[in-house]
Amino acid sequence: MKKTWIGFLTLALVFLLGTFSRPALADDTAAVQKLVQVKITQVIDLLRDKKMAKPERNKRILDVVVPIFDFKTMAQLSLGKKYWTEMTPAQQAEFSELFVKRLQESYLEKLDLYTDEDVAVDEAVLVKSRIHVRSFLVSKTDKKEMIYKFYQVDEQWKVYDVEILGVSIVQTYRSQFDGLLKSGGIEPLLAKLRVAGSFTVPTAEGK
Amino acid sequence: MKNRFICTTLGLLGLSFYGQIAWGNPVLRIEPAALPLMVMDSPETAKPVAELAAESLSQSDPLESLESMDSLETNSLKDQLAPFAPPNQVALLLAPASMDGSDTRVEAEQATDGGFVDLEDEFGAPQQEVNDPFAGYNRAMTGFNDWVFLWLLNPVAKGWRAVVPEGGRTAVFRFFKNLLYPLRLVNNLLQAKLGGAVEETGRFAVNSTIGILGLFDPAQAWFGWEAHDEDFGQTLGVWGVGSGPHIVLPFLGPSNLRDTFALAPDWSLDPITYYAKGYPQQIGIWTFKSVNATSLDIGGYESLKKDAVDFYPFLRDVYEQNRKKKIEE
Repeated sequence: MKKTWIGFLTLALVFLLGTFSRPALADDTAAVQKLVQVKITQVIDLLRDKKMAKPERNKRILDVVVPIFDFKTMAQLSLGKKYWTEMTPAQQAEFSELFVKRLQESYLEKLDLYTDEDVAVDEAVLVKSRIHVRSFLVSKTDKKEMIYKFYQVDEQWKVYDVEILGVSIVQTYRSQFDGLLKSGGIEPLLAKLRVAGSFTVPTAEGK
Repeated sequence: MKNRFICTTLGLLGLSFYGQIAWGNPVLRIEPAALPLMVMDSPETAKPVAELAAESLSQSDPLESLESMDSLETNSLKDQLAPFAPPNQVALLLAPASMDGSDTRVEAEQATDGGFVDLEDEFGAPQQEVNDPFAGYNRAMTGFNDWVFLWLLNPVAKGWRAVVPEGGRTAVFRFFKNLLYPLRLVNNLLQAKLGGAVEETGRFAVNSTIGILGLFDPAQAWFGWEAHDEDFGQTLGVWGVGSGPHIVLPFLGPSNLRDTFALAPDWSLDPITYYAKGYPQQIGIWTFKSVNATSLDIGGYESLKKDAVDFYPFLRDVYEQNRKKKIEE
């Protein structure tokens, strides 16, 4: 008898939790979609403002974008838990630093290649406990799908991965790092990251 | 068995070497502007040190994993970040993105454990992803293709860009794309994508007439009809054929066994194959097509290359993930 009651109570609790948490997540989905929409609009506006000097523009764009990314998580996931925990705290710190710097440089460079593409935020979907926000980069000749993947941490929704045309940034780094770590080890990898990113790319001006 | 497999592969490589220079390489066509909004650095939004310290204390490590990270490490998040980021950046990393602005840190501390495990599960063990027995050859061929791109294709494309305005090159790009309608139609049908087949047919009809032989794209601009790129490699994938080992083709770039097989039927549905009188002319047209496409994305390849820590596995992964996605769609 007692057991039945406990069972019943548990069930009731589960239902209660269910009713409370589901609408909350649905609200979050809409909120996250709006967040992405707002951020993208701000970035595009800044990119189209041809009067602003580039360093100033880049700084402002970073101010817009940085808060929604969880770079530390991205760095850790890109390396993988196994390798991450094998590193000393000093190595972890250096790895994170170099990795985040890479992402930063890469992104700033992509901005230089921007011409007049439009970004359309399509929909946000709840996938398990993650929110995937789908957007399209529309140019004159085609349309590219980009998915921002958010997870909830400390009541915040933060990006932990971005998928472009089905290509996950984190997954791509994982494969590369795995190969390098298997053939070399942590120090050679860090050495490689230290020197990487030392050449510049022509801009798309006058494209 | 293995020998036969290798012979077949080599035979196909030879074939592909012969024919198909400008088979639009989907991977290298990723426009860099498509890469994501991600960065950090924000030199001037500094926060007072006291606020910073308060924040770092109240935040728990989102990636704390019960068995793998001791609490000492967890609490030293700020210390970990400190060496590489000026305090204002640490503040940014630690600062909540404040979606609702409410202060919920107490609950947050309990809600974060297992983050690492949870997210980690979404990503496969890296090396299981790609079947790569030809890694040595593939690496060498990637080097060769890189050379071809940087020293032949790219300089010519830059010259072409200097001579012809963007509008003209875009028109040429569309013209060639329009020509591949038969390929897209057949593969949409083979995958039972009737909507795609219908829209493609509408596009071909409108763009070939009003759009002057496909030079313009009124179907998209006026009616919003999208292209539905499908090829035989994708069709085979939809039918359940696995990708097989990754193979880097000369001139064409990353591919795999399945997609390499699919080149022959793809080729048979390209009008250029029938229009051209002999291989030299065909290769010429394909080369022109490739030069034109490259001219619309100058700097894109270099930028993509710079994103790689190790170029060959990077390209391989980009290709395989992209193909997988296209097949799933």
